[in-house]
Amino acid sequence: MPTSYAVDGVQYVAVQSGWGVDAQLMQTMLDEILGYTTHVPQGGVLWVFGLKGAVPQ
Amino acid sequence: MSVATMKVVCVRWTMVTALIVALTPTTMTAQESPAYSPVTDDRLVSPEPENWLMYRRTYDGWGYSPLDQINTKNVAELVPVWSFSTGVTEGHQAPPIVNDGVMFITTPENQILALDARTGELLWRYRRTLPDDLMQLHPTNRGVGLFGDKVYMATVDAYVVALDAKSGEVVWEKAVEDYRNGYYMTLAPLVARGKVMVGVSGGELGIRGFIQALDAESGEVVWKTYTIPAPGEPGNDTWPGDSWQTGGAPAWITGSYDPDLGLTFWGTGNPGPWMGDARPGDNLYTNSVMALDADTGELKAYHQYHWNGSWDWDEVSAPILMDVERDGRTIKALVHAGRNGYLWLLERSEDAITFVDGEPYVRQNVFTGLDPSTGRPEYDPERKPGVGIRASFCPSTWGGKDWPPAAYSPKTGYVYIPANENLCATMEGEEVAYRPGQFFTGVDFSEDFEVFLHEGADHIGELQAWDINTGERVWTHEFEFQNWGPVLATGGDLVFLGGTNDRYFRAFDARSGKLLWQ
Repeated sequence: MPTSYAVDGVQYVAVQSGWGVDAQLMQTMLDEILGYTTHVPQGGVLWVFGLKGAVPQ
Repeated sequence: MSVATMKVVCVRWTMVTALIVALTPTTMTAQESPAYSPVTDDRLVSPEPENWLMYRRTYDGWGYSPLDQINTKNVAELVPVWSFSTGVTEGHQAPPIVNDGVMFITTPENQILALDARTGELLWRYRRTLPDDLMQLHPTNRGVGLFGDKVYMATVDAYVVALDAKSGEVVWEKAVEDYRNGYYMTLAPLVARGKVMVGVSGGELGIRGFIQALDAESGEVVWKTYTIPAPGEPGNDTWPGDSWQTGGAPAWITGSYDPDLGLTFWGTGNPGPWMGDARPGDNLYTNSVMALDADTGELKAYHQYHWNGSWDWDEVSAPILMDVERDGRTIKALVHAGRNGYLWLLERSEDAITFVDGEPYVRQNVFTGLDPSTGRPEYDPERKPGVGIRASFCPSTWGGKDWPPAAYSPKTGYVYIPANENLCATMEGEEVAYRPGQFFTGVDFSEDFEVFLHEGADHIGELQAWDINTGERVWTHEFEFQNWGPVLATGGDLVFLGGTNDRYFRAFDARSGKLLWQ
């Protein structure tokens, strides 16, 4: 779930990647209906985004 | 890091510290963790704009950050600043929670990671040893709750764990039920008035749902309120025989809270088993919003979105608390994008929840109409599955919207709904006997369950923006495939969304819906 926060006056947007059982089940069923196979990478990473120049020193 | 290197670093940082002390009145060495700011009731009611202290940032469930440094003019320049691999896979549904520079995330397997929110440096990690005989239906967790100097997590083996926020040491843990009886927890706790409140999962496993409040300091139980009334209590007569004992009604999403009314608002999920004709009656309080007094747990009001549930449409999403202008007056509203495919507008007060309006936000072919004063839906009997009765219905069991929360922006006045359109399901039930901790749905998923696309479908996922004052949908962004993304709205007039199967994270203009960044 994405959130946004700021530290020392700099704003960031953060979100975790990684899908679970219901998303998988839905994808599997859609693949069957539509006749192809979708490979969605698992993820498992916390991402934090900022404006250029927000990279900490 | 070798000892020699550490000594060098220590010396350098001491010099830097001396310099900082000379220049500024406050001191903080980068070598120490950020100091931890105690979380108080006042801070939870009115969090600082730069912090995200709870599941949807504020008790009203808006999922809105007032920050506007990142906005429509510069979001195209957004870049990754740091990333951190959690070490596990599966559904990472938890929001990054941030308190004055300290970030907490939870992951599948009930890890908690505390990180420096600016740099991503790991401060501490909590790992939980889960029982060998635990069957995880939903290996996920939706985040921590904060209060005082502690961090709280509800676990998949049905415990609430309290840890010291600075050190990550466990202070206490309490089981709310026995996981062997099918009870588990995935939600972020709701923390208010010195109490940690949690709801249980297990609607597929024949539980009797409840919400429990623990004292934040000691972990002692303060109150426990079942979502299904017992014999003698109002509403129990909406269940035949003993079916109330295994009736489900889980509460697996964090409730909203109105500090002025002192009421928490919880969504409840599906009844068990899945086929409504196995337990004729309205089945209170499944698929409802329940208003519980935060101090006592007393049920003050409720509204059931749809009765005798037969489609696995858990109405667990907590309602958004917002003001809505209708018919020349301001309504203290509860707004809920239902799993059942209808967008519900209810009015809240200290002892009542009343229906105002309801309209579909996706194709919905089960309800033939709503009672104009109560909002109670009438059903097309052809669309209601039962034991030995096959029926097709739209939306599918995952609904117009599943667990991913909608968001509200007070700047645009719009509610943003992550939806799935054109997905329908066919289901048929069978007889099922209850055994503790075992599947109690009464649906054979290999034989009697399938999903299909509605005729003419050209897309599935949607991000919808609604003006609740007018009841109009303002804009829709369509995705070819499904959308499992929770929505973030910001003061920079942006709406952020992930949850699509194409590895993208996106930002949209909150007013026009134009895609600005991905």
